Amino acid sequence: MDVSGRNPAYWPITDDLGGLRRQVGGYAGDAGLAGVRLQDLVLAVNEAAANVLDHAEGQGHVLAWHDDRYVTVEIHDRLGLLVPAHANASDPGVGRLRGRGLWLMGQLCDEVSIIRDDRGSAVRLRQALTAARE
Amino acid sequence: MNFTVHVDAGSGDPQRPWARTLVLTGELDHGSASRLQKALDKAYAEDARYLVIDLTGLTFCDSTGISVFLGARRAVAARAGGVLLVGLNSRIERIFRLTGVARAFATYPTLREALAALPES
Repeated sequence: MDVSGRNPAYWPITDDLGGLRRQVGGYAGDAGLAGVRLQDLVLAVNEAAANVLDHAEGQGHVLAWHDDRYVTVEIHDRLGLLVPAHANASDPGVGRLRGRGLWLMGQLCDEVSIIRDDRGSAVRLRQALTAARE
Repeated sequence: MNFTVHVDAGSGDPQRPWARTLVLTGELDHGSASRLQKALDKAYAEDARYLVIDLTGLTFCDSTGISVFLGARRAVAARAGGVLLVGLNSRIERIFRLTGVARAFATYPTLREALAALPES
C-alpha cells in the first residue's frame, strides 16, 4: 500500500508489547486522538499484536498512517492465517477463557477489517479523529 | 518489566489460611500474565479458596489478563471459593464492562470492603 504523504510509521512486532503500545499511543496522540478513543485503539493494536505472537510465530509488523479523518493501523503477520470472516468474531462470553481478541477489537474501534496479500494477512483498525461513536 | 504481584497469605489474618490477597501493579498483558498465573498456581497448591485481587495499581489489562482472571474464577469455584476484585479504575472498568467480565465477579471499591465480605471460615 502506498502510504506516502500520510505520515506513515512502521514498528516490528516483538515480545515488548508495552513498547509497541507506547509507540502507537504516541503516534495516534500526535495525529489527534485522545482520551478513551486513543486508549481503545492502543488496546486493539495490542490484541492484534498478541495474536501474532500466539498464532503467527511472532512474525509480523505494524503499519500506521493518518489523514485528517482517520488513524489507521495495520497489524501484519507473515503466516496469512486470517480470513475476512475473522472480522466478524462473536463474543465468546465469560465461559471461554481465551479467544476474545478479534471480537474485542470490534468493540474498541470504528472499523475492523481483514486484508490479505501475497505476503500474509493483516488486521486493519481505524479510529475516526472526530466522529462520535455509540 | 513493569508488573508486580504482591501476595498476602491469609489476607491479613492468620485465622484464614484459605484466603489470599494479591496486589497487582503496572501493566498486565501478554508478556506479564504468566507471573500472575504463577502466583495463582502457588495459591491453589496451598489450598487457597478465596482470592482478593487488588487492581488499584493496575494501569493496563488486555485480554490475556482477562483470561487469567476468568481462569482464577473457574479454579476457585471448583473448590467452593470465590474471586473478589478491588479498585477497578476507569480504564480497567471499561475493559471489564466491554468484555462482560464485570458481571462475572464481585467487585469492591476498597480492600477493606472486600476483606469484610470474606466468609468467616
